[in-house]
Amino acid sequence: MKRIGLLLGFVLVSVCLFAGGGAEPSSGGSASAYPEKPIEVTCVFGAGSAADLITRKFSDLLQPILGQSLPVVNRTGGGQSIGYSHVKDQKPDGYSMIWTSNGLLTAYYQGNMDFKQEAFRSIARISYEPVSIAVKYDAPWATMEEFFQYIKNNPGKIRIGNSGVGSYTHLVAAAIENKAESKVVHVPFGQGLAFASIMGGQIEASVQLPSEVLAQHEAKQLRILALSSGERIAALPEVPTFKESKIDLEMILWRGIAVPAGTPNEIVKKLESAAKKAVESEDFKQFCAGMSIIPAFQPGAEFEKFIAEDDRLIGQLMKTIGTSKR
Amino acid sequence: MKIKNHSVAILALIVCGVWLLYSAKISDSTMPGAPGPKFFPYIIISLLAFLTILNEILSWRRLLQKKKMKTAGSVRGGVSEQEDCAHSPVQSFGEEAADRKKTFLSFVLIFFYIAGIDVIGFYPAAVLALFLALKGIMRINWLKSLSGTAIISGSVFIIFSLVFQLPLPRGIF
Amino acid sequence: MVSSILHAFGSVLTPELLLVMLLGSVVGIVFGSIPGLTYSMGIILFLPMTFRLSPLAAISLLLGVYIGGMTGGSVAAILLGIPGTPSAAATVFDGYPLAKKGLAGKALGTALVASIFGGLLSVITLMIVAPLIANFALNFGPAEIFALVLFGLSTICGVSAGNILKGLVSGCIGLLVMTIGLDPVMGMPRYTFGFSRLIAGVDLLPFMIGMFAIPQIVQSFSTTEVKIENITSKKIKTVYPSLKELRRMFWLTFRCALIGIGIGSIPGTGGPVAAFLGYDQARRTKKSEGPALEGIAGPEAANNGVTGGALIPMFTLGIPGDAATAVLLGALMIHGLKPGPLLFSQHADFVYGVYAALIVIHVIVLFVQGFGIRFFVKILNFRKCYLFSTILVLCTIGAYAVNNNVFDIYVMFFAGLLAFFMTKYDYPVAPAVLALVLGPVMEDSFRRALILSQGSFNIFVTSPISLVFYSLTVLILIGQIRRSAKNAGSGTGK
Repeated sequence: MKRIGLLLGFVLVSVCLFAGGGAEPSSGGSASAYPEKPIEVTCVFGAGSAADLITRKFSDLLQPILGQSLPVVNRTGGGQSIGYSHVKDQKPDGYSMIWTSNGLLTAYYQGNMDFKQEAFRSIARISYEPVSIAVKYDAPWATMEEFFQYIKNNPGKIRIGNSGVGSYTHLVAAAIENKAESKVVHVPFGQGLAFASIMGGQIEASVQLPSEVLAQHEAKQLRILALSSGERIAALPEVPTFKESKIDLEMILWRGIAVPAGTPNEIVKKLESAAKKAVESEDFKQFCAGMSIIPAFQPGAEFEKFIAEDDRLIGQLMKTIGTSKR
Repeated sequence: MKIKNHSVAILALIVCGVWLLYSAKISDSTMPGAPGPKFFPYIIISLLAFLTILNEILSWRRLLQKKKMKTAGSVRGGVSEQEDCAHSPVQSFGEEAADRKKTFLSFVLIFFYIAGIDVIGFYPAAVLALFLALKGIMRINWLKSLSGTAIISGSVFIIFSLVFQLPLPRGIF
Repeated sequence: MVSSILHAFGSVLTPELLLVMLLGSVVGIVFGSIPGLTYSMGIILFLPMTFRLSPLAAISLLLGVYIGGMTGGSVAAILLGIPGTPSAAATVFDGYPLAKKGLAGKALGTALVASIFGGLLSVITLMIVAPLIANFALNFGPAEIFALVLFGLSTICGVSAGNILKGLVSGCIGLLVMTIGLDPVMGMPRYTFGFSRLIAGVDLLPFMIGMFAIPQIVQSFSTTEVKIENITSKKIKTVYPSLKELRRMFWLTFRCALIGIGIGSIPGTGGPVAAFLGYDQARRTKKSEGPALEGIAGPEAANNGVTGGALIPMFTLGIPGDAATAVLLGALMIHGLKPGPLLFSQHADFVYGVYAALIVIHVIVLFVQGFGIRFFVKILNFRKCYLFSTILVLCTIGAYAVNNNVFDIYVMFFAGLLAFFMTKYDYPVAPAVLALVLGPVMEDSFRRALILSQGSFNIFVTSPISLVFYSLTVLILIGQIRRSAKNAGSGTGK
């Protein structure tokens, strides 16, 4: 009995060590064989959030295209800095991926991180999401223009909820406040609590991603007054944009995928074409339609220029509003 | 026992001091109306300091009273930490005195195990730590230590890395 | 409605769904009973697996993990003194001492019965009065939550093991630990001492695992095998509490289940809070001081009450009641279902299917865990050295898996070191855990309430709900002071 145990033991130990070592591809594996093992995808937001859902859906879509699984790992905290910091320090071998968004930039200007998009090699932009502003269904303002007027004439009376200080939704609310040349009370909330607070009467409005309030809008408990995008979206055909409501503001949340800087070009190209296929698939289009996401593929090179431009705009905006630390 | 208690009190006050020092570094910005990030920490620090000092004062008083009782010829009253509320809901350590050296070694082992997870990867560190714990600290013979290590790390590997595909640290590899 | 529910049972009792629910429940129980692994982790792990399933099957699988996990947490809490999930932390207080006395089987049985009772009650509540409760829960703004949490903190005395002063100090230590990281409202870093990793703060789970498990592990490593526990030497006779005992505890279990349902339906609070409140209730109901079955029934009924309770806002309003339901919500969205007020009208079949599934899952969990109790107890027969070595490895995995960060494992270690010294100097550990659970919510709600009211403290006293909780808190504190004055009077006096 003891001997069997010993034999079993040695077998298991060797399995362990081999598996631990053997899980690595032969050092410096040729890029044409990429990917040879699962690619770890980091999401800087919590499980169940809008960002997390698109991450998981996309991983699911990429798996048959790339032939390897892309397990999603949530690395939250530090105002998104934990996740970004982790991936930026990984080996640029194409096996660590991360989803980026404007949050990367706002976190930098907020002072949570000391780096921004240059620490990564952007692969492709995947999607857009407009930011919505919603009030209770029976609130005294039926349109965005009315609400905007009210804010202008009543500084300090309106309380607007957002998803956290320094987050993109906070930025949008601050931009509205700026345009109205008035004052608004910004109330930071965690995920989902803003809606409860509107219904409970503690805040008047909330700035959120449409997917988070779509159901309540359809149930006529909330009214989405306007969207921050340049055009209306298919999921909410009756909701005007800020521009249509005579507010000269256009802001959009973008999401894309990236790998640590220094990743070889062949790997990047492979990922880029795989991402393009996934974005153009019917499955993804249907998914986006249900979540009020706009598929917006943009290849890596243009994407990096796009981010640089957004970087400039966000930096300026945050400075004007006063939330920038740089 | 008493000396230990006093050193704990001193330690607590030092912690308060350190926290206070670092409180100064917190930025004061806040949304209008609400107290800033420093508010709660200040309250907690003051509470802790207050309680610690109160504890000290009370224990000194009891000490003095006990001395008085002793000189009066009768030993009265209980020790300070006794039943005000219910029983102890917390684990109390075993009746036998744990081997102090082994306790110390165990903590050291666990610490280096974790460091190892970071540096050489999860499974190598686990194998090493398990073996050292079984053989080194608990003094189990070679055979049982090795097979124990193998079985435990093997099963964990199968369940977590093969079945669940849970990503675990790889260390420098 | 009754006919629709019966019809729903039909759709749920298919081989595919039964298999899925069985799988989910077993996985949940296993995850819940292993210290270091939690049902949240299980839900996230199995999420990808649900993509290929039908919506009902997907949600049934995840619900099985959720409920199984919440119920299974009591196993390790009772047998090993280490909570399997944070919601089971309060079960350790009476459960572990009872097990040491040889009553492990009965303790486990009580936990199971109380859990299933609490869970089923919460499901029934969900089915019948969900919209009512959801609307009421909306009245819980930050000011009300603050009052609630303050009430929760006043129960600190009950877990202070006799020395209120030391208990409060322990609580303060927990609060100090809570301040590390980003400030909850402004996002400003606090007390990071220059370590960038500390910006994420100290997570509850690694800290709790560390506080409970590490001292146990170290103790088992450093003491000789022979007579540490005498659980194995005593034969496990009864596995379920007797009818008389059940009757004695019925009202308590009912109350605590209601507490759990309430806490679950308030977004922002979750299992651990309910468990501590449940333990506090149990403490008051107990006939004598000392560990008793009530101390198990209370927290377990409460934490399972949270499962159904958290589903209330999720289904009626589309807001998750706790972290696990947030993932469930995500799972539903991926399947194209939008939880919210319209779910009932657009997908009534699905909703009834979920209700039926919930009931079936509870039955499955009852049988699986009930059957498993015999085996669970056998775990104690393993040599301590192997058992606790395995637990060490599992805890490191669990601590890591929270945020895929090795730093959290260090947190676990230091929490364990802290707990070790605290126990050595007779400082109770439980208040620190309670503080870490409630502290962040307290600070967050306090400051947010003031932001809402723009600095006016009126917001704290104008709501009737808040006033109710404040009065409860005051009553408890008065009762506590009176009791300690009485005790002190017979001692050395003040």
